Amino acid sequence: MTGVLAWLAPFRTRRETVSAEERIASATQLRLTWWRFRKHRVAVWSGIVVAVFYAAALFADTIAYSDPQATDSRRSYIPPQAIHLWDSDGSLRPWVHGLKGKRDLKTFKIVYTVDPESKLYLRLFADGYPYKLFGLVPTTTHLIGVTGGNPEDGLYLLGTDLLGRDLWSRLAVATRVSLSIGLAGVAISLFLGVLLGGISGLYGGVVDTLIQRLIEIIRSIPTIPLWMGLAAALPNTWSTAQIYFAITVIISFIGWTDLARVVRGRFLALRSEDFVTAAELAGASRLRIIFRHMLPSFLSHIIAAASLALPAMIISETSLSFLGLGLRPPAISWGVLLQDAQNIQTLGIAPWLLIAAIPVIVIILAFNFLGDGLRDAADPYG
Amino acid sequence: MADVQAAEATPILAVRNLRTYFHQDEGVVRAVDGASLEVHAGRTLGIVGESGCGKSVTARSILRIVERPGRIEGGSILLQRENGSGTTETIDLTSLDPTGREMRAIRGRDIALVFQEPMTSLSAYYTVSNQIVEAIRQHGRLDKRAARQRAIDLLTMVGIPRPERRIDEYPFQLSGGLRQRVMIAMALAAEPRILIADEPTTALDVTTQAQILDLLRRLQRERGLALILITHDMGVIAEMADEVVVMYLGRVVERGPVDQIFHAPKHPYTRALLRSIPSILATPRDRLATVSGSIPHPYDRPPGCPFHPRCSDAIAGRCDRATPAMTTAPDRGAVSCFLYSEAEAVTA
Amino acid sequence: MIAYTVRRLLLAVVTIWAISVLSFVIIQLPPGDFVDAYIAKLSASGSMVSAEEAASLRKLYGLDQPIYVQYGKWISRVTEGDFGESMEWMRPVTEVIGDRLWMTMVVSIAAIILTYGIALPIGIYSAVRQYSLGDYFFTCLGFIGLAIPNFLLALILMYLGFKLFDANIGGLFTAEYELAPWSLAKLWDLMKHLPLPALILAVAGTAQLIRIMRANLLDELRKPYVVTARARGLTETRVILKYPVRAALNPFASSLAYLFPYVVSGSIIVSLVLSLPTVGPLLLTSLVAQDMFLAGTIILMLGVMTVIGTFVSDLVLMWIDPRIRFQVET
Repeated sequence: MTGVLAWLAPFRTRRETVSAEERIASATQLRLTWWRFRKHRVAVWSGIVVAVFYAAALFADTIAYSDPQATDSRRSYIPPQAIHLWDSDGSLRPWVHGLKGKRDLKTFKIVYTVDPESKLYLRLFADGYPYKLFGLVPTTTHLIGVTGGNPEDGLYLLGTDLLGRDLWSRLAVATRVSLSIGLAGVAISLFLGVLLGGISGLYGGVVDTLIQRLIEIIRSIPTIPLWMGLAAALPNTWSTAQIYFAITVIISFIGWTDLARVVRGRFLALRSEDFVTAAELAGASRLRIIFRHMLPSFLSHIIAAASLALPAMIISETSLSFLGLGLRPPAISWGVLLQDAQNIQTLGIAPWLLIAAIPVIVIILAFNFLGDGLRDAADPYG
Repeated sequence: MADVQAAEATPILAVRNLRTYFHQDEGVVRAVDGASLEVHAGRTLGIVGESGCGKSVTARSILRIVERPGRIEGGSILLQRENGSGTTETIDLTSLDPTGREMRAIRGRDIALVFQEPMTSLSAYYTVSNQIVEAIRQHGRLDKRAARQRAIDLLTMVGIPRPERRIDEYPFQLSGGLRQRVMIAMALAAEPRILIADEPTTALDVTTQAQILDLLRRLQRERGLALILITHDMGVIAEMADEVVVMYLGRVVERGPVDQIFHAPKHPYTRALLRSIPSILATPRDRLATVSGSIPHPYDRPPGCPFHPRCSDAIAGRCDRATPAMTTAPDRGAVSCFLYSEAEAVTA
Repeated sequence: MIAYTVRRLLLAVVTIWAISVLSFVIIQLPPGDFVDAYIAKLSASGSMVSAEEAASLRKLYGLDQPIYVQYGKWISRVTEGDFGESMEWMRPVTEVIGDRLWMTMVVSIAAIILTYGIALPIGIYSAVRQYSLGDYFFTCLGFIGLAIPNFLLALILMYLGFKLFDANIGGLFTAEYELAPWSLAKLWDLMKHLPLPALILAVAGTAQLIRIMRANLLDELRKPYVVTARARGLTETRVILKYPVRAALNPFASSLAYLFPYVVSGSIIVSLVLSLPTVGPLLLTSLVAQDMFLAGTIILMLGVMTVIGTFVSDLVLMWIDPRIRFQVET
């Protein structure tokens, strides 16, 4: 019981050994932050989850086993398959039941049922559809496949959608799109936030007031209607890449305000710090003070703020795409996948479409824990 | 003459071998570790020591308001109290439930507290009137109007000009000195017999400090208060205290009448403290003496006499092995040091 | 105090102006202008519009003039209550919106009341009993609440309602009241339907507010005035509720300014999932159909409503914080 409690308490710190004092005295700000961060177990685990997700995004095509765009109307709404780990002779040899299509005599629809006769044996690093790893290396190797066969013939780990596309493979590719759009959005927000927040904190006075009022104005506007309005105006003729870029810009248009606040706050706090005064008295130039003295001391704050801003970006993209105003098919993102699950009739027939919600929730949770841990580590007193 | 009598009489408050520990993940902090002291009506007890020596925790232990994870582990706090029939009884405060009715009746009514930070000791969200009237009505049966009049009287008594106007202001509209006066007025609201002043002047400027100390002295004289004055400032002690208790790392290392502490200090720590007072007789560029070394980390309490690592007179093989007992000196004081007695403390 | 009010009011006016510009930009964004769309609409239904007619229409709406003049004309019409025609419905925009704007506000305000109602006691509990089992429980619950986007929560609850109770949990009215005029029975019907969407909307905000309340109260609990209040012999409940909670209430209440736009925002997308009769679904259909006057008006009205809400909450905040009333910078 106490073990569980201790594990849940990310904010308590372990005792520092006295012999470490010297080490601490000579460490940089970033290194200190890292040491403090390591003590937050939940945050560290969340960091690992985030890393796994991004690795999955990087190898999305390898993790997929079917072409995420390949439609097959005969295989629409196939439910997820159960994986059997042990073969009948007791050896570890994962397999799934194959499917058998039968025409329903009343509706004349093809109904897929589990074929108890057939067994499809799974294997790692099997052959599948051709793709380019990292967009460069052409290959046909996928993480999972079927021994001696084409995975597209019977492997539907998470089921299929209306058009018969494999959900597992689509989810893998969607992860890449949603996570990268989050990163790109945060990058743009970060640029705007650091720029405007820095100007605000550095110059103060009228400029500061103007930027602060601008932030207040942006924050008092309901964001989703605004995004919807802007996103809906994107021309239908735009390519997927153009839309992707435009959506990123639209969501970061709002996201930068939080970061700007953090940066400004740190700037103001640091401006009165002794070491900045000391640097000024020593005749260091303003730029040198900012980049050599001030930036390193709040880099960790920026990293923390960015990781807290990421989930908001991901939710934004997911929301917009869910509404049909964000990324549009053939692009695949978590929001696009969830759009299929929008109405209750569909959900009644194919509840597994909601599986796309799981990675969304997991990654947001992980980013929140990670960001919290980073923030506590960056500023244990703040 | 009155002094001698008061000293002979039973103390109004006696703390015996008090131990208050804080249990944390990292280990146990023994904030107060066997402290004993006595307070007499109409007299001032000064508790002096560096920050972290357990002065404030002692005060909070007496009021039973030590916050978690702190806990009183042992010892007794004996309060002399008149019960309804006019006879006096002795209550051990450590035996009471800290949140119970009995203990709450003692807080403010018998023992009141003035805290070190006048800026933050009052809530900014209520007027002076609201907070004082609450304190008055907590222990009395006055109606609102009478309580307000009493509050104005109290403010007059602590020397606040135009109290009938000040009373409706918010604490942040008052200066630090006025706030501390309000705090004192509030502490006196239920006419306590013991007033604990925890660093009452630390956050104030020098002139205001002197005024507040004067006020405390006057109130003590007028009302026969027993005053416990907690400070790290030997100057304040010299000016105010009748008896002095010197604390180091949760232990009382020396106690005695103020003259004796200043003129014939026994414990090496007391002597070091006295050397660190800036003197008007010092010539410019004289280095101010400091107590060498620094207070050990609370989790790494040295074995034996807690002061031995910083002590110039430490006896190797003795002071680092055993803890000296508190032994009474012939001239009314007491000291805990192997230089004076071979007796070892039973605890620790 | 007056200076503070004036500053807030000025900011509100500037914000409303900024929102009006944004709404106008959104109206103007799609390729072609209003007359093009009008002509397209008419020709789709068979009637033709001549070039002269088109030109006179353009003149009427000032479409031949520079953009800032167009904005001026539009905004002056808006201030007179003329928001233009809905292309899709062929009726004035205000008529199409009807009750929906008020329904949006009802749902949003209900969500906010729920948010504060839940977050306050839990926040106090979590701070006072820091690191207790209950504190961990609510912290975990809060993180999960924060992590589930509200439209997903709505979707999941819809599915569960359908699967477990075979009931449609969407909507704000039972079918019989949907088009009925307002009556006590209809109001009661609304009251019965309101809690679920309000709760869905409240979840994320509640999680956030619990954290704010907990953190602030923990800070306040360490302050000397708590010790002095305790030393005066007050009961523990009174000490905590009167002093630190009162102080922690301020940052808690001031979060309303950000919570309000957030909840209104969320109500749009949640309404879509739960098919609530708010402006949400209308906004989406109008945007998809490029019915720009309708869409722009909805965005404008939502923005203005939010700004007014924020302004009112600022005034309330000023009223409850003596330090702002007496203009003390802390």
